[in-house]
Amino acid sequence: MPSQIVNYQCPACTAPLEFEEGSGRLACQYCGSSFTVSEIEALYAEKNESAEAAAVRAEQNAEEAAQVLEQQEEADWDTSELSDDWGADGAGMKAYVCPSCGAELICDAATAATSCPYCGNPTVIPGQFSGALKPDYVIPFRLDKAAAVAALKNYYKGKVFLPKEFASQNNIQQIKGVYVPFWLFDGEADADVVFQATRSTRGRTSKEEIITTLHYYVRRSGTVSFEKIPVDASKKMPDAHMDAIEPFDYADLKPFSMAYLPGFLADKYDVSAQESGVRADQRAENSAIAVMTGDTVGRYETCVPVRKQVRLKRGQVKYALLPVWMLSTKYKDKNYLFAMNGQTGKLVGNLPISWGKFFITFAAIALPVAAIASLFVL
Amino acid sequence: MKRRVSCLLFVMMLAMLLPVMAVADSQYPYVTDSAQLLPDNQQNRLENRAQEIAEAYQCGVYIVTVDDYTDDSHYSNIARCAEDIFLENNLGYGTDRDGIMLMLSMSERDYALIVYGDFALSAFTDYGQERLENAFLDDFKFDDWTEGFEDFLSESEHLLNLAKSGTPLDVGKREGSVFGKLAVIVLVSCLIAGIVCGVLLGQMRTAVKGSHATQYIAEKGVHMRVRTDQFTHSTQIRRKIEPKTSSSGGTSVNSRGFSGRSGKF
Repeated sequence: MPSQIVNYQCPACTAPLEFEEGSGRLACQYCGSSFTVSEIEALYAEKNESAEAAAVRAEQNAEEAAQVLEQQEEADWDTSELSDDWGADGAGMKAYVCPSCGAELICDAATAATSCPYCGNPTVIPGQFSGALKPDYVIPFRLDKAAAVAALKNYYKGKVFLPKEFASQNNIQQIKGVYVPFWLFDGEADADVVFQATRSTRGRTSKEEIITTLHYYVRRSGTVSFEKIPVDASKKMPDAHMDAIEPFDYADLKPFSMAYLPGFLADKYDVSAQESGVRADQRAENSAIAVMTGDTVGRYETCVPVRKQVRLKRGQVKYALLPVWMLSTKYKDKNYLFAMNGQTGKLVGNLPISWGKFFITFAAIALPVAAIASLFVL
Repeated sequence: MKRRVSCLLFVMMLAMLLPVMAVADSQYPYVTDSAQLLPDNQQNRLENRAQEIAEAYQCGVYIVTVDDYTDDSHYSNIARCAEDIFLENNLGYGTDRDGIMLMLSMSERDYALIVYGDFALSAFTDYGQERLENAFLDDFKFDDWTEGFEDFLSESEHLLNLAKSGTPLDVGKREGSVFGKLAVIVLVSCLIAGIVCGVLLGQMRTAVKGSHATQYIAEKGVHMRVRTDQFTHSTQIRRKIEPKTSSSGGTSVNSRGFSGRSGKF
């Protein structure tokens, strides 16, 4: 059974102290210093006390800083600059409502919605254009419909478990360009994370293997500023799809203009900024902790967080329309949605699986492997 | 001891003349119980069993017991004594004289296990001999002679059977049941197929929720306020290094062509 012991360091040179049976003292083999056991114990007791006092002072400082921050943060997201005043542009806007899924679509006067981009319903009803916030920003479409169709065809290629008839039944030409509403969140996260970290060395004598582990108290505290964390503002657009087609290149982010709309539909937001803000909070917290962890992990072999504290300072929220090519298709009474980033071309979507093909492929791999293995094992 | 060993040799030669004992190739009894540990019926049963094994595998399996191998003899080593008995009585099966012998000396509770002949040496590797020892020593500890000799014969037969099928028991060639090996094959092949199919399935599901906002950290947006790295203490674990035994496998053979082990029971 392995045994565990605690080592004392030499106060003069920090090398390990060894007990000398003859003298009954703790001696350093490197610098020659020698101490009685009681001297070392008293020294370490003093060290522990000052370490505890330092920790208590640090805790008090952190609490004071946290109290200051608490006064500033935890306020709601700032939506004061959002506006529903379209001005003269509003006169040229049309609205449609899908009776099947409830999507509310807007477009310019020259564009008509022929089917719902979310559920594929071919009947959309003209509605009232009112109550829609005017976007602050837009990223124009960089890729056209031909590029989107080609990308989707390419996406189907090489998918071993895709049912053969799915691609052929797909109404791929019905792919539509939609400006999806997004809330863009600015803010700061103040993170304070404490870790227990270790580093170890291995040594060996002729009779024993010796593993020496050095234990550390590690603390990282700091502020991480975020700009324009996107969260989609449409209930009909699955969050997973919108997260997966990120990132958008904000270098192309332009102040909103009607000039970008012709030929495309735009969805109206139906998730408020405060509701969407919960997701932005979570992403900011996770990233702030990841930044603190990233600053420590490389220095140690193990680094385990034992306390995490994140306080958010919520900033301004902007409303933007971001370009997405979308295709909604039905296969065996189930809806499949494909979304392509209209700026970068990143395409995502869950494909139907032919379980028959899955099991055939599984057997086609397992059987030859088993046959080859049996030649060696049996 | 020289007198006793000579007596033993005489007994063995006498046994050759007895028509009742139908011994195989070597003409000598497989079980010689000079120390009279076994009743006659048990000795006969062990003799018959040893004969069956010898004929089935062309390898003699011998049991010899004496009161004191050192008495009136020049032997200081029971293994040497056993080797001389083996050679001088022409023990062993076939031209190579394949055989294994277990000899017990009761006065100091010494035992010797010796192996001779190419086939026997391949069947009774160092690891196999260790297994064989474990089979009978537990019984001898409690003076259960019959059980110990039966275990010796059973385990010898098992090792000979493995050698005959081309898989002698050795380090790194641990025996396992056929079902166990089949289970391993099925598990490994399913695991490999599962991994490949899992990767292909992953390509079918690309819509995944994001949990971080690392790409949206402002330029120069990270300001570290506190960086504390404080050494608290060290711990040490000491693990004894166990001496390795015949990790390379095989059978070690002395200059006389014997392999074997000896000790106290």
